[in-house]
Amino acid sequence: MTAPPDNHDLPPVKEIDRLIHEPARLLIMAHLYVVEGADFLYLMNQTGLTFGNLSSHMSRLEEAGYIEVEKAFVDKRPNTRLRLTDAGRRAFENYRENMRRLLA
Amino acid sequence: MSDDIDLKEIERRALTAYHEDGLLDIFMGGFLLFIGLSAFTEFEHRSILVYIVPPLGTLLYDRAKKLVTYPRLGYVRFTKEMRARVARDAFIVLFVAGFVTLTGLFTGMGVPERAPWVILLLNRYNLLFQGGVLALIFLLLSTVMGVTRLRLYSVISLLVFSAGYLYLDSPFLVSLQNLGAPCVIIGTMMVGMGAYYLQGFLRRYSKEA
Repeated sequence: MTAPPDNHDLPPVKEIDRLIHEPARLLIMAHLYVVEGADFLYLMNQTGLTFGNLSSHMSRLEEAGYIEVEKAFVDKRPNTRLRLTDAGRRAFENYRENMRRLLA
Repeated sequence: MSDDIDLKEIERRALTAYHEDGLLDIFMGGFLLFIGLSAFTEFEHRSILVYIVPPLGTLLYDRAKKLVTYPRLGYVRFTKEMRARVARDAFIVLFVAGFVTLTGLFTGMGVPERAPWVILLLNRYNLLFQGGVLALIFLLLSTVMGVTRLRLYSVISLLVFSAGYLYLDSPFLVSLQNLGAPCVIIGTMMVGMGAYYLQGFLRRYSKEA
């Protein structure tokens, strides 16, 4: 019988951030990671999520402190701007690193 | 899964999404049309317009973006690194384009018979050289902006200017009339293509309620 592979370097599955792991939230985080900030409409168009869907995921990420939401008016129209916080940026990087190690 | 997420591709799409509206084609094509049509006019102060039209066009382009694109596509603020990279690339494109265009124009005007062979060659095949310059500009812009359809304009420019070289009465000297016809043809194609992209964009993205 061959010995099982040494899995000491693998992150335990429980270390995977389940909040980010959800596909829609992962997509939001990825889109915000590559830019400095974006508004709600841009994210809706780029991710293909509906208004309600994006809104609920946005709230979850905001509660976790991963994104910062700023409401403003542009040309007298309400405009919701989102950006990743430093904690969100770190969490996304950790998530990617953990997944890479897990799937390698 | 994180392995399925290609951040480079997301970044590229964020950059190119803003050129799906066809406004770039319309404004660049419009500028070529202006050059082409002005070549056929007798307007005395034509050269002054060359200095006025590009900044005016840039202002109009910016205004059109604010009216058409941002309210439909949304707004994104790129990272400092990305903005710096785009600015640097744009500067290189402008520098190369300016340098090569000026070289083309100077060698296209009458040159002494004892000029170095490179200048004589550029003078002899100036219309082809101008086509090559335009093709190069489109190719560089395509690389910098990630807009692949600009490569099509690059090929079209080469073809149209080559046809001009073959069929125009006096293609050997760069006269404004010689430059005019190819510019009108390419400009018209670009404006048409831009309008096609614009109506597709307006259909796909409705204005924010």
